[in-house]
Amino acid sequence: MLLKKSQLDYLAKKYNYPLYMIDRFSKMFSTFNELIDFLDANETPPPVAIRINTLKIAPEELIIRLSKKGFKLKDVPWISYVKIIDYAPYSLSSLPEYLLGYFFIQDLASVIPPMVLSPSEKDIVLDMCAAPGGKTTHLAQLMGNQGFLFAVDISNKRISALKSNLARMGIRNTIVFQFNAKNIHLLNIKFDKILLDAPCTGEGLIRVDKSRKWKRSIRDINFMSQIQYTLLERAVSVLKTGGTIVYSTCSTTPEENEFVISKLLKNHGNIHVEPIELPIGRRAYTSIFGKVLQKEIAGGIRLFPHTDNTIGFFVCKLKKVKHNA
Amino acid sequence: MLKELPGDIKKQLDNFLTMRFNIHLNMFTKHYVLLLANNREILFVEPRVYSKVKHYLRSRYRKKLKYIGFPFAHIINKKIELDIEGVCLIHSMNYENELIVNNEGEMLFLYGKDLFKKSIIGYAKHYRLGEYVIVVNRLRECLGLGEVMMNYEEYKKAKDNDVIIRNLVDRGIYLRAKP
Repeated sequence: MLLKKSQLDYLAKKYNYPLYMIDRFSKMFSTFNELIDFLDANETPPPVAIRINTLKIAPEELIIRLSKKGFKLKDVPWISYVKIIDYAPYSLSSLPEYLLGYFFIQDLASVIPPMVLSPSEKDIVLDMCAAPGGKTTHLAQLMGNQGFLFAVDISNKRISALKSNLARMGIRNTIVFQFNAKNIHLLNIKFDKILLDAPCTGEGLIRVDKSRKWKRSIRDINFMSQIQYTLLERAVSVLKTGGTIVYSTCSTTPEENEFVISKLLKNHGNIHVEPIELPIGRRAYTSIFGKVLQKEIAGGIRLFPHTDNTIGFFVCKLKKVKHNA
Repeated sequence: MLKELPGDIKKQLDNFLTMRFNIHLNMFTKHYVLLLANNREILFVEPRVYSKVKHYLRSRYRKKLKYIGFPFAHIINKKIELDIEGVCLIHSMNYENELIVNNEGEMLFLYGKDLFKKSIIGYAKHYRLGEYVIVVNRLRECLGLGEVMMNYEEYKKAKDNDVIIRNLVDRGIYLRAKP
């Protein structure tokens, strides 16, 4: 959708965004109304969700306990052990049930990458940018605390948070390394499944943190895009043939999402997109900002605040096949 | 940096567990490999997980390996102090040192507070001054570790608001110690 300069100026002023960002958003939505819906949704905080730790408690039991304490929970149709908090009489993190590791507080979008990766009890799994551990503990939960989960993060401070969450949630199958994930090949391990929840500009987090409207520039987007590609290519190099990578970001920019996937597909003929089938989100772009991308990228999904009531999010599932397969 | 738990610390840990909980370290070593991280954190690791990373402990990447298993205890000033996961592991194997608190006591204890007489609704035995007790809620879920502040005879005479249990460690640490 093309808007006049005066319209862009008006929206930038009204919603307090840099002009370039409004201009880019206007090209990501097909109608003016949808653009407004998106901008409006970004002004409201996302709902809080909890992921019930089935390693420690049955969902029905926790629901009864929280209900007795006055919490109102809503089901999520596509994932039984995640609930939306409709009403909280007091802070969730002060509850004994939280401290006992019976649930993890996270955005609804964040539960999708581990769910899509779907690791089993027999897998050797890598979480490339693991801290603070929301997705790591979810992966371990899906693995039934079996298999091997390698969690890597570059930041010592963030690893402290990761360790705390692993201990609280009763995770026992996870091995934590501190280094830049682009050096993961040095460990000389081949993985069955890899989660790359890549570092990003966080443009999808505006609902949570309004300052993100002004924190990043086009330069940052391009810079992050390069880092993301480097990490993704590294993930491919340590993935077993037949293995799966789930790539995700909490950014809405195509440069950090579809463009990264597109470049990978161009450079690696043995990587293909596996369509994600979930009753949430919409198909990833195959044509955006004047670029036409590979059709298979539509197998990835995007989540938006105004349509999915989550943070802005992107998820893509990739499969490594034998060459020429 | 991680390494296997040295023999002298193993012995010290065994003495500590025997004295405080009447259990021996070999009850745990049947199920876990014991590691030392940063010369102060004692980690318990399932053998199958340890076998996957054992060779890294002798490689150039040993400094990069930060954590496996779960924290059982740590060493401060050459003394052993249990971590909350260690307390709860002991509780899962031995209920002899259990002390049950009511809902109000549960909340106070999880906020790092000591326990008043009025919060206590059950105990496994008649405790003596200085003994360690594992504090649990009505559902017997492990909340933490406390030290008994008076003998049973004094306890019987104590008032509702007298402190009976000093908080040593509790699950609220996961909230308070948030980085």
